[in-house]
This record gives sequence, C-alpha cells and structure tokens, in this order.
Amino acid sequence: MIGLDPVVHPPARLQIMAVLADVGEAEFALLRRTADVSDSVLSKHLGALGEAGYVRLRKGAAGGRVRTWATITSEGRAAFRRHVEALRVLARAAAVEVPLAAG
Amino acid sequence: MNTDFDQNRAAEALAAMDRSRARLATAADVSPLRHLAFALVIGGWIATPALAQPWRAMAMAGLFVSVPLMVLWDRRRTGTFVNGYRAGRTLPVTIAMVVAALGLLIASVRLANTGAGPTASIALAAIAVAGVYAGSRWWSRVYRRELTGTGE
Repeated sequence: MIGLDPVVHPPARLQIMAVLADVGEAEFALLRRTADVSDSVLSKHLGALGEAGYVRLRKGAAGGRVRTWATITSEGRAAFRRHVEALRVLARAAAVEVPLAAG
Repeated sequence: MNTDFDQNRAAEALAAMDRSRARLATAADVSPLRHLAFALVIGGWIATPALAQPWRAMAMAGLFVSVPLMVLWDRRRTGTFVNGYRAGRTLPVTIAMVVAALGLLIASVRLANTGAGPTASIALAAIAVAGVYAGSRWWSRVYRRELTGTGE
C-alpha cells in the first residue's frame, strides 16, 4: 500500500511514534506507559525504529539513575505522517465500503 | 502487506494511536504548582524594571536560569517536556500569552523610565502572575482536549 510504512506499522510502534511526534523526546518509562507494553517489547520496538533511523536513543542520568531517552528524527516524523495519512485514507475507504455493501 | 488486513485494521490502529496520545495527555498533565512557578517567572520578568542595579541584573540572571530548571523539572517528573510553541491548537493560546506578557513588560519598562516608581511595575507583575497562571491552565486544557479528542 502506498504510504504505509512497514517499520511504523506494528501498533506499538505507531503508538510510540505518535507520542514522539507530539513531544519530540520522551523517556523510556513514559513511552512504556503510553504504548502500554512491557520493557522488553518497548526495547525491541525502539531498536527497530532506531535501526530505520526514525528514532535516536541516548542514555542520560536523572535523579541518580541512568534513563533512556528516545528522540524522533525528521525522517521518522515524515514517515509517521505518511503512514497516518495512509491509514486515514484506508479507514475512510472502509467506512464508505460498509454502507455500500449493506445497501 | 495485505490490503484487506490494512483496511480492516486501519481504523483500529488510528484508535490505538489516539489512546496512546490520551495517555500522554494524562502523563504530561501539569500541577497547579508548576503553573504557578511559570507564572511567577513571567511576573518576575515584568517586575525587574522596579529594581535598581545590580539587583535588576541579578534577578534577570536568576530568571534566565529558572527556565532550563523548569524544563528539567518537567522532564524528571513526567519523562518529557512539552514545548509551549508546539504546533497545534495550543499555538494561538501561546501567541496570546506572549503578546500579553510582552505588552506588560514594555509597559513596565516605560513606567519605570518615566519615574512612576516601583509600585507600577510590581502591580503589572501581579497582573501578569494572575494572567499567566490562568493562561497556563487554559493552555493545558486545550492541550488535553487536542490529545484526547474530547471536550476535556
């Protein structure tokens, strides 16, 4: 499908990207809460997004603890926008098809 | 990627994305103390013309330092920092607050330069604190509405 990005497509990654697209940078624990996934699942998805160049990861100390921060890149932001637009087109098409099929 | 799967799942994926944004709105919610701290910083800027040197310069230096400290506070408390100048429905609120605060600052400087005394600048700063506190809470409400897609 034109516009759908296989890297962003998994629901958890879409949720992570949605949050990062809004705030730019977020800490690991916040992303885990907002995407409602476990630590290991989040690590896996952040790794995949990082490999694609959509997210940059860095370690930073805060409150005596080392924390992981994720930042969306400009490529990631553009890919996210394209993906969401493609999803909206699909969702609209599906909404039109259902009444037609019913009629 | 399977087309039928995508058509059936697209709305579901968008809904899941909206749920994560709603959770972000809750997680990034700002306490009354944080609204007050921001209002006091802006009010502090507007009060500075009431001070004589070197107190004015010292106060301005302190206010400069307070801005990154608030960013750090937000990041430590919520795991992120939501920029007030972000694009979206909050931007008109931000612009309105910046214009009002700049107007009060200019008035404060002019009044101080015309020998109106410190009382005028302090009165304007008090207005700014009240206004920015209310404006900051308004900004947060608009932000929450935008992220949750609801009336609140």
